[in-house]
Amino acid sequence: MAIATWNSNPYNGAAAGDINIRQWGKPISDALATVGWVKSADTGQIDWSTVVAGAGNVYAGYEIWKLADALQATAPVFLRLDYGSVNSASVPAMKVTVGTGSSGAGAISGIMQAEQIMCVQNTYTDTAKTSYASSDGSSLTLALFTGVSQYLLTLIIERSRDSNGAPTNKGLMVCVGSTYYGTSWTVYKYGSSAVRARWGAVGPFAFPADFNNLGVGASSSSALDATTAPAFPIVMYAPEVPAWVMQTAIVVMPGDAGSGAQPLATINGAQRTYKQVTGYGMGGPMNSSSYMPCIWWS
Amino acid sequence: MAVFLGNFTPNSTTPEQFRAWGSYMRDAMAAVGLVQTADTGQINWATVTWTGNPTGQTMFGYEIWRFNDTLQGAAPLFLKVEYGCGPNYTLPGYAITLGKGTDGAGTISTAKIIAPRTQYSIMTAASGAVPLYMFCDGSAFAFFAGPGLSAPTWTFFVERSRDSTGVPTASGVAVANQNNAGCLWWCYNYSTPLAFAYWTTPGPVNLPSNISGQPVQSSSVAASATVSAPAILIPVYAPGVAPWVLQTLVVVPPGDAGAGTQMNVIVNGASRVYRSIPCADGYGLMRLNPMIWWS
Repeated sequence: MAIATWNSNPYNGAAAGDINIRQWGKPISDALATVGWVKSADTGQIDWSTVVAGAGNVYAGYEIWKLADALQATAPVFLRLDYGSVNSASVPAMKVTVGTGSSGAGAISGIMQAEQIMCVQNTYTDTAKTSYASSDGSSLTLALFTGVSQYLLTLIIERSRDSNGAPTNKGLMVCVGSTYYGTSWTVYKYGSSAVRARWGAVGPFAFPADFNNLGVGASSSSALDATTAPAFPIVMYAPEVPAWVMQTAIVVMPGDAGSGAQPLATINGAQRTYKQVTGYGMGGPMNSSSYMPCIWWS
Repeated sequence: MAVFLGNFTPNSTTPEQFRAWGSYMRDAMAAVGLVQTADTGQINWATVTWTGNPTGQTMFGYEIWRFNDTLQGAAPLFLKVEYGCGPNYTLPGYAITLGKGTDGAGTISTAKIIAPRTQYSIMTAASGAVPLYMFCDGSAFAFFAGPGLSAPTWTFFVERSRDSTGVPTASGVAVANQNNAGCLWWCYNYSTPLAFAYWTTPGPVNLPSNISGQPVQSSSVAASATVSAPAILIPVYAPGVAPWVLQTLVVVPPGDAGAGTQMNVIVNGASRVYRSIPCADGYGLMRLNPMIWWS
């Protein structure tokens, strides 16, 4: 596992020509490299030493990233990230596109996840927020500007896995989330945008009605009363894709894992360390203080 | 593993009819590999009867069954199955208590209870034969009776926890039971049964909002003959118990697996054959058709 943690302000600048896009965008780019994604040789990619905010709500540039695992040769995954603003010129926004290749000039081919926006809400802060990234080489978790739900941007990508957690080439899960643009969870048959299963705000998990006779409700901050709830596993599936248990993230109750906690969970036959990184959720029911998502950390 | 599929007529208008459907259930449980204990006081299907017109969910007798797998020595599972009636004596019903042992006289003591007695599951008295599906792999047991009806049908299953390759483990037990209120689900920590998770209908899975662009409805997925949905797996978990994927059951949209359909589904790393159990729209597990592990 490779991880990255950094601080930056969810602030894109006050006017055209502002350089603040660099202070929030470049650390994301650096984190992707740190956790093992490889930047492609596509032309036209953003130059962090010169890029400035455009006039109005525009994307100032893009990057093309690809996985570097053993499956990349036969089942490549390419990610295009556009950096800029869309809701208000002052606040960061990103566009996410995922496919099987690129044109060499920035166009994603074999699109699975069509362009989807994640955007900080129409406010900004000059206070730095902590961001996190992690990857096992076949996945990506980005939790950006954590701690305040209106700022939080979430991107999770994970290849399908077998029952032991080994990545496979059958499917790909993409979760894109932000308070302003909402959250979607989609499992694609690898290489197909049409063959898919998609969840909206609720996501693919169902919370129990109670633990130990203690009620669990969307508005409750904890169901636990000093008892410990299990980690919630998340099962992914799509037509023609064997179902698998998501390994990149789990959900726990807030009483069991406050911000920064590192719970252990047995997923796909092995115990792994997860980390509660957001203080809030990652969208949908996770986008509250009621259910705490934890990302695979070590 | 063993499966059973037959037809019976759950109707208790007369004691003879009650004996017929009850003993049919008994024979099926034995056929799939559960072992009836030597507890005293168990129902005698040759003589069981009642006087007057019983009401109020009266139980006319019980049986004690146990699992027969390699974990039974260290982590025993016993089922107390009570046979009786619903609000009036013509309506066949049952209740099941899951425990770690009995007193030899048909009682699962409080200290040995894992899953408390289920609510009575009642079936509208059948005027004709309805199917009974039953399954047991030694470490899991399930039955469905009367599926296809729009009235409440019988659904019960119990499954030991499993590792990621499907091998049973002793740490947890999942239970589901259908009654008039719908299908209720529990997952227990075997060593501490008070540590459990509980789901109401539709259970531990949230269905997608759409599959390949077709909306998922409560009773069917994708009113499109060209779109097939995946089999939907069911993860369960309890406090202190590592989550596992149920191997006994998956669910599918009715349009993708009608009555009798058998399909291969990869669960816990291996492809297995599952058989669709037809249910009227909105009455199956998770409002979809359950598919039971068949071979």
